[in-house]
Amino acid sequence: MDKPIVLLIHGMGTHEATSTTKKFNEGLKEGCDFLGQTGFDLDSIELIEFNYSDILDKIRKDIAEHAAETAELLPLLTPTVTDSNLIAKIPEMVGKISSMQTKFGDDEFIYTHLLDVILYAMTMYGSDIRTRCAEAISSNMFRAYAQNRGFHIVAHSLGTKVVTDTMRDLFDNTATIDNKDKINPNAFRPKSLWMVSNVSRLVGILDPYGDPQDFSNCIVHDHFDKDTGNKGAAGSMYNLRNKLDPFTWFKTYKGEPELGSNITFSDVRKIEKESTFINPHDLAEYIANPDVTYRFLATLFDFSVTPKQYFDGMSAYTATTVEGTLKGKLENIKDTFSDTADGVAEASSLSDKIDILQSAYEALQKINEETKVYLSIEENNQ
Amino acid sequence: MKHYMTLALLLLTMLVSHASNSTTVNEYCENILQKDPPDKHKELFQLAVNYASTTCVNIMSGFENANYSSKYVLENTDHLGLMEQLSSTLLVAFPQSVFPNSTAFANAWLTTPTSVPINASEFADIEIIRGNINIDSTTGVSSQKITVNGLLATSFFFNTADASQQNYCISLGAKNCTEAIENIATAFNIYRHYIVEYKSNLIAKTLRESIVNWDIYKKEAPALGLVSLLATSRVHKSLFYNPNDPWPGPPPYQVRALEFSLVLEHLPDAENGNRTEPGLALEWIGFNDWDNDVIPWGLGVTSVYADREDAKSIGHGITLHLDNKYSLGVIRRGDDNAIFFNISLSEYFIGKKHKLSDYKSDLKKLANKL
Repeated sequence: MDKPIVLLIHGMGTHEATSTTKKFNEGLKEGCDFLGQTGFDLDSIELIEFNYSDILDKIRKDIAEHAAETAELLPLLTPTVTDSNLIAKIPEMVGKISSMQTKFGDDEFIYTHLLDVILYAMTMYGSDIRTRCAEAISSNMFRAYAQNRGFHIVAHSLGTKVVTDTMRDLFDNTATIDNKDKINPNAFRPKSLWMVSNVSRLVGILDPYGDPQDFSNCIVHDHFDKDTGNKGAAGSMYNLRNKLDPFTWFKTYKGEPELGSNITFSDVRKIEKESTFINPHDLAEYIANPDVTYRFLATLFDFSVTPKQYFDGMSAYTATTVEGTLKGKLENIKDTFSDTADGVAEASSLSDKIDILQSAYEALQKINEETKVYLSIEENNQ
Repeated sequence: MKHYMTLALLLLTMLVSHASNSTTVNEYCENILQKDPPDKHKELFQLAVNYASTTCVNIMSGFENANYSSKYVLENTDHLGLMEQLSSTLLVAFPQSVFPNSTAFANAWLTTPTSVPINASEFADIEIIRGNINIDSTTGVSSQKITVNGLLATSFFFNTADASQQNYCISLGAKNCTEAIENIATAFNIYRHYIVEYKSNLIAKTLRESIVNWDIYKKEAPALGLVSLLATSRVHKSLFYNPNDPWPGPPPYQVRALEFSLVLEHLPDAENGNRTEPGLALEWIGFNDWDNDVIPWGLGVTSVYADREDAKSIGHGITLHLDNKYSLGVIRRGDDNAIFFNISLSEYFIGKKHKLSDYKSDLKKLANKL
């Protein structure tokens, strides 16, 4: 078999072209180094990116510009405030809308990320993104078949939701060859599907797709039919979860693939990179865990390490993680948010749902703050 | 004259292409698969390539007319010959005594596809799934289950740490069992090359058409504010979440809600010099048929505020949107009727004068001239 094709689907926020590839390779390289595979050739995998952030960036920009224009117009109304009660209310109302909207154009973390989720799950552009994602999946999958190569998908964060919805729409166990919209996974499917920080259930509270971990209603799982009588749309499925990643605290994905596995760990790393920013939600952080790196590469091709390399790799990795005070603090944060997490099941109104999403972001920001404080204390002590 | 020549040339091309159609198809189907045979299982590969070429001719010459029938695809192929070769190759490399389920796996391929239209799973490939690595926490020794999927949902598996299985594969000259099954898959899977290509093109056409339509929407239709965007999405929810028609393309029309714009209003009954004034329009609710074949158009319920001395400053009426760019309308202002039209703000702000106050004074000057 020639080199495998891996389709990468990024998460929330702005992603420059090839930045996801870089990040993924960064994690892979680090994981390989831990495992003593320093000579691993990253070119032995063809990475393809499905980038939808330019679509969301454009909509955010449009909305912000539109709101800015509206804001410019508002002063014209001022002389009429006394004219009538109706008119008096307009500036206040529109002011609220536009102050919210103008923020959307900024790259402020919470707005960019939260708005991405809302724009994907609650507007028509979700359909636009899914159509483009389906094109990326099918064109690369069929190319892989034609060239006798393996085809795999790695999705991160919001990307797990995008790929779940897209594959639900694209694959159908009853599709015949003349079906112009759907593909029968009994004949054509990706070999493996890697879900990194699977938020498909969390974001799913905003749309009508239904619970993705219910395999009798959702085709997005491994190609195995123990319970449902329906084989899934991917050869195998892997769900990666860092228990300290706040996006996995709410509506945690608990589907259990038979072919593949759920890989769960609980590590925070002290990274001395461009900043002291620690992010347990980060794609590279997930992939750099040598246990993950090993399992991922062994899914693509013949790849194995000796027991010594494995143990040495895991110890070297653990040495870079943070134990003790900071980890304890993070676990406390997790407990603080667990009430919200429990409340998710009852959330029915839209504002409740958006509150839940906002909690996830707040948790991540709190983690960053705690980490920064901790690291600065540590630095001062040295 | 030029048109007649083009037409004649087109007809000539069609005639020539029609005459040589079958030759072209045959050449295409033979040439595209001229690949070097693999090192192992050359005979299986040759049968698979011949099979693929024949299905190529069949599919390219009237597959649709034959209602996508399996029988039509199988015409003139040596289906049984290919599958018998595969089955016996599999049984030699993976005997039941060492690899449980391998006989059922090998025999399944001897079933002849019959479905109309083709149920693509009757044209499965040999798929190798490298399963999750199992790592012993004390010894660190790892093993991996390799699952081989085949026709009619049959499968068998082996383990990379199973010495008897691996030794058997090595005894037959392979590096390991994974390589042994990969060699067979490489020689065989090419048999459905044209079925893959056919399906790939069919899906690609649907998806690319939908993507092109989205691109047109983004280029042609006016940008919406967040409220209008949410309203448009809500109104067309069943269109965008329809599992039976999952790639619908852009919305057929836009819903407009709470859209503000600057307008130039003309009140014929006002005093000379004050007849044309800038105003602020708020479209409460409306729609825009952005993709209308004749001319894009839409309507909206609108209130307009203008700072007028001799009439009520607020008026209510209807806006007509035209060609995704222009809007004009009629409002009732007390006892008077006024007409107005919108100015594209974004176009204006891109220009030299950035301040609305400049614009307003410009409009005043313009209005005084009218």
